[in-house]
Amino acid sequence: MEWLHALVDYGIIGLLIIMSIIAVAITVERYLIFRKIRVENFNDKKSLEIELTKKLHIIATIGSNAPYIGLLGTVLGIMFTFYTMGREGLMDTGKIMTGLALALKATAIGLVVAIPSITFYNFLLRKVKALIAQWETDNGRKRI
Amino acid sequence: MHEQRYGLISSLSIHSIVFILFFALSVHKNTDYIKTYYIQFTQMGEQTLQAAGPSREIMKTKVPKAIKKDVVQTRCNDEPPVKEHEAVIINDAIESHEAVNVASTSDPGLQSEATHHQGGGSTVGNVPNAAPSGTSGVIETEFGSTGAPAFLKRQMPIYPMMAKKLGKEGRVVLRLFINEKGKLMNVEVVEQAGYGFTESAVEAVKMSTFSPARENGVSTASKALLTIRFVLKKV
Repeated sequence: MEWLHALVDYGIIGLLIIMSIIAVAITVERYLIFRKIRVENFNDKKSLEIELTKKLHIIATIGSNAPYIGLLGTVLGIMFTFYTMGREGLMDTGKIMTGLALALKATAIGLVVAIPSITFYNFLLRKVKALIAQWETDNGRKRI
Repeated sequence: MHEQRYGLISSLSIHSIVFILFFALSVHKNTDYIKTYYIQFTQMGEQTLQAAGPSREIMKTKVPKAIKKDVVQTRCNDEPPVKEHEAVIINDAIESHEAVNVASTSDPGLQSEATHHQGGGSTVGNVPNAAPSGTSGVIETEFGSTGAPAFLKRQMPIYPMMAKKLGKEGRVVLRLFINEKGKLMNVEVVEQAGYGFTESAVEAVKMSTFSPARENGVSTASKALLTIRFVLKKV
């Protein structure tokens, strides 16, 4: 059962950290592209939309799934604590509480990853809408 | 493509900054360098053996290496210090006199004494070969006397839950090697007690900070005896 502990400590938390890095990297990249993009170069609204919303789904996925992954880590941690309790019989209350408290850190990290991701996603979505609206105004709404 | 690279680099740097800040703020005092010695006096000082009670017998049967491992494991937990409990823990100089006598009979250096014991075939606890640094000019003292090292930050030991439940009390005598800068170099358990008292005391000592011993106004390295009594207050 030691592998379960290692899985929670390194697997889940490592996965969450990687997800966080990916989300921030995509956010920065998208932001730079939105600043650089020239809407006049696009003749079609749909192709502009495809170009703008590229990779945005990844941030949305990370934002919505990070809490679940964190929760999974917590459940595994609590499983491990209960397993140890059952195996060792009488256990110190302090030890049990420490085990449970440490199990909750996975949820905390999941939330810490999810909150900025959702914020970034909404921010980028707003930018996309603004750019599309700008294209529409530039083209006088005649070619929609 | 450039944007992707910029994005990845900035993301990695943001995360590393966050991690560095996180680890810098959560200051973990590194106590890995502190060695814990367990010494058991079996041939000398028989009268103090009785004072320690039957719990010593339990501890004696354990392999010292295993005890040390336990200490390491409890250290990993990094529990927040519990300040408030109903137990009184006193550092009493008067009470520790018999322990001092035991220690002083074996004073010409821990290492030589330990090797002597091993040669004699009697039980001596786990003595790692790491010698305390700067043994020359080390003064022998005990907490509470003049010129002795003092606590800068005193971490109260946690009264072990099991001992509290069973109503057990105990006394642990430690000898702390404190260098001239006040840094704790290692901890030697002179007198053990069962029920997790020893581990709790060692843990608390490792989390405390000390001021160095002073001899003629000059700070020196010292070996200081510290007695920690675990006493339950009657309610």
